[in-house]
Amino acid sequence: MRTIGLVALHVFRDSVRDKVLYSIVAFAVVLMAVSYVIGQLTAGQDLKIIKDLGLAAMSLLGLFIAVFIGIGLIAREIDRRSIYAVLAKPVRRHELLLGKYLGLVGTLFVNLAVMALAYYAVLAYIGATLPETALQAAPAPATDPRLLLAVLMIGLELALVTAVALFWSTFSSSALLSAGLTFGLYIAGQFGADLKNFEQVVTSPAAGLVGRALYYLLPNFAAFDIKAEVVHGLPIQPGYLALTAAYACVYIALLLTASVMIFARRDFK
Amino acid sequence: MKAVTGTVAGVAAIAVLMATIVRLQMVRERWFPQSEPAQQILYVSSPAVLTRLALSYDALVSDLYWIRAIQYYGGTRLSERASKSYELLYPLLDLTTSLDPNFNIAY
Repeated sequence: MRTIGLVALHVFRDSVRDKVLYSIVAFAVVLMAVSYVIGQLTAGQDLKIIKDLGLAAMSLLGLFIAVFIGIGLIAREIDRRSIYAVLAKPVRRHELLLGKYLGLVGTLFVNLAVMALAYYAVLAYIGATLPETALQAAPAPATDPRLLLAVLMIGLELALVTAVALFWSTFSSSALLSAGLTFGLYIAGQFGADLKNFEQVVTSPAAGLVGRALYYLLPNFAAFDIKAEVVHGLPIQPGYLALTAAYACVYIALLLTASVMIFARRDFK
Repeated sequence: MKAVTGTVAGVAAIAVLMATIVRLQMVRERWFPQSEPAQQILYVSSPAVLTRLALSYDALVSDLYWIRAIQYYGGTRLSERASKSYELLYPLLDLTTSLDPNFNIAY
């Protein structure tokens, strides 16, 4: 247990040294610059657009961090041959893998938390500058605490993406291939609704069955998207959030188990 | 000392080259004036395609089309052209509302 924590801490320090947290600065700068310009372009919809933009930027920046660091977690150690030195120490392979995973997920959550702070600061500023009538017309207040639910869902989605990236990188030796496969699965996971209704498009029942099977087997990333509901102040059932969170946890457990099994058998020449 | 002169020379060279690029572009545009920008085009006009292209960023893309619709309306209204037609306004707003069905003001 302690070893996992140490590896995780090391990954976190490493990502700070790799200037991953600069993405927060980029996020804050973009959000502030846009909030300054947007009022002149949008006919009174600035609050909604800033909310949309902030959530989309958090999700997109996090996605790139999760994929590009996630695929390098193990592959880089093998490339630099430092994996021999690590595995010669009393670190078991599954401890290394889990520690790496938790370290990156921790980095992502710290990243999201700081971005959320900057996000609320910008929203509070917009809320203070908007006229009273515009605020009353908006479906949700400027610093709506429910936005945190959307951020939390983004965090869970990114944790799942990280697990996918780590899974591919345990057996593929090419970083480009791992990145492609991870992005591919992410995009496929957005098309859940189409796969589910595939049988209405094709005549062959077998093809419909394959589509439905894929729908249930592939990670359904579209389920984590509650950004629009939160921004429009629509109700979200707590049960939906709980089930989606449980789905993410079980899927992550599945991917990590598979990764540990593959990594344990892998032969480093 | 040598390193400092090297840096200064490098920065100066970059500045001179950059100024030349800008200058060349200006001269070319004076000699061969660009034609008026073409009419606005809507590349993707199918809401079904765009919803899929937007992945999970539907709301943000919808905002972009909302801004475009407003700019299109304002631009056409203020333009000097004799015939003002708003034929792109409906498709732009249609895309906005298809991507984000709760964007009430766009209806």
